Amino acid sequence: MSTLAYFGVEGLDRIISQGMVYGSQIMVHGDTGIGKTVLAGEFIKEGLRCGDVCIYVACDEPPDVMRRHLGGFKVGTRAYEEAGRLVFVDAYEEEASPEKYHIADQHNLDKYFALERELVKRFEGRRIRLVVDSLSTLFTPLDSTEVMEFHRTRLKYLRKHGILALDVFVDGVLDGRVMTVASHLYNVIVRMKFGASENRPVRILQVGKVRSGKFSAAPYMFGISPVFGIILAPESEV
Amino acid sequence: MDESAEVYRKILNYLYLSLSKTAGKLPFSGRYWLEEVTRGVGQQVLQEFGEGIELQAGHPAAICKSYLSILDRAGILDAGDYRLEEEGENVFVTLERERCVYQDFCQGAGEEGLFFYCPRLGALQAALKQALGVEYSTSVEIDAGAGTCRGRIFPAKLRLKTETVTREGELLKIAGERAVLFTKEMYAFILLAIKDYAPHIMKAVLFDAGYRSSRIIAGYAKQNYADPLDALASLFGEFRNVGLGTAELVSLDPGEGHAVIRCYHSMEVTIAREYPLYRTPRVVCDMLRGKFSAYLSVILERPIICEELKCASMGDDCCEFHAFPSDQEGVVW
Repeated sequence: MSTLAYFGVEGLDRIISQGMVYGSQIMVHGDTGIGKTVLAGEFIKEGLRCGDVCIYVACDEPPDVMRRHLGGFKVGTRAYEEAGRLVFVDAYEEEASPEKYHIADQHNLDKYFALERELVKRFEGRRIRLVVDSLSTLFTPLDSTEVMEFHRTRLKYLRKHGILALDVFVDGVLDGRVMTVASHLYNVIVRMKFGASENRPVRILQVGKVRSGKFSAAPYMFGISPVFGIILAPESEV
Repeated sequence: MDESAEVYRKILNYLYLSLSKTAGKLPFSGRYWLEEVTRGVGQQVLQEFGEGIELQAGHPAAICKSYLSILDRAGILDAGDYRLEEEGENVFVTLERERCVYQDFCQGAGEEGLFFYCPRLGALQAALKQALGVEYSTSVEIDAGAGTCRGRIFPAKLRLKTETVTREGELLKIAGERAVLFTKEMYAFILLAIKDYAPHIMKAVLFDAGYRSSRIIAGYAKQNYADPLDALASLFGEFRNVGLGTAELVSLDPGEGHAVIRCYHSMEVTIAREYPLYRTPRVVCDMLRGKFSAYLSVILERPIICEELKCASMGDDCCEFHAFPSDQEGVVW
């Protein structure tokens, strides 16, 4: 069984051509509306194709939004859900969630972490992809010390259990110091932002690999197709 | 029967057995051509000996009886050996096996698992077509204990396209339409070119190509078979005929729109194993996924989407597809 993983976005996967090992943590951060959730969807699709168990924690919208999003790309989520290969956690509807897994109080990090560990334990021995979209929403009302303490413990746990985790952060939600410290805990950082002029904005993506000491600052333009998802051509740098 | 007649009878049976063996080795249409041969012999006999015989339109059993009387008068058989019954659109023909000139072919084909069409029923089939202008097909049941065979002649279902591959002059045709045979290399290089120039479209292209190309033939199957199981069986036959693999229905719940399908020897797995299409092991049968989705969508008359949950390219013994209605999960077509 291969121990390497990719995002499932061809251009992006060419940039990280050596792949990521399971147990890596990925931070995806960027502007609102830039396409972080689309990237998270690509990451899940790739995991489903590769035989992984994929867990999606929906914090900013109900899980059905991601189901419909994947359906738009002709992914039949029900087959995977029935087979226990795709799990949605509702961290959005705090009351009366129809989902099997939900968090009653999204700002109670202890309860959240307990559920995350329960799921990791349930699928022990399987390759797991975990996406939290967005982790910054869970952190919003908490002070930075509390955030950092939880964050360090959680990532250590996920690494120890070989979980390939992708955490989404919305830029501007957390203060700069927290973001800087938090980013140091990740193996791979993907930054997504709008660039160029206001009249003709373009989407730009940068990949950084802090842990390996290699940080490629090269920005790449990308687009989002309703049929094919994220399209990125690494040969055409900005 | 004198000695020379017995020799000719044996030769005739060897000839049919040999034809059946050869038909089984043909990549396409073997069953179709064997049926054509048996029916063609009947037509020839009818032309040769049938002058002045009135074949009564609208009464299949009577038409068959008239035809047998032609052969009786020509000294080919004893029409009294055959018992004819008509039930609805079917004609049933019962005969003691030892009275049948084709018994060696019939028995040999059964023992060796060869294609079999009864030449006698094929001749009756030809007579019915001439009299009524309707295509008929046949089947035979053997009662070994009673020493009888019971043939059934019934209006034929339309054949699915890929059963009839022909060469007309310089052109290869499937059901009359221009066709082309690809080697696996040709197909693989098309995929490799897509991967080089537009890798992001690969999966969608394969799924859509499978889906769109299968809707028409699935429509034919639905027209011809009221039972979804029969329709799927005919489509799986077509699927195997064109070399995509061997499909097997594990379960089908038409009411729920749910099905599980397995595929052995998937052509897409062969390609993925031999050509560098993907970075990591994964399920690769997107075109088959599209085909199965189309089959089920047309037959069950609602949008269905299949996902491949096991794939032989990842070490499983077969590929396994799970289908559910897609109208409940927002899949866009």
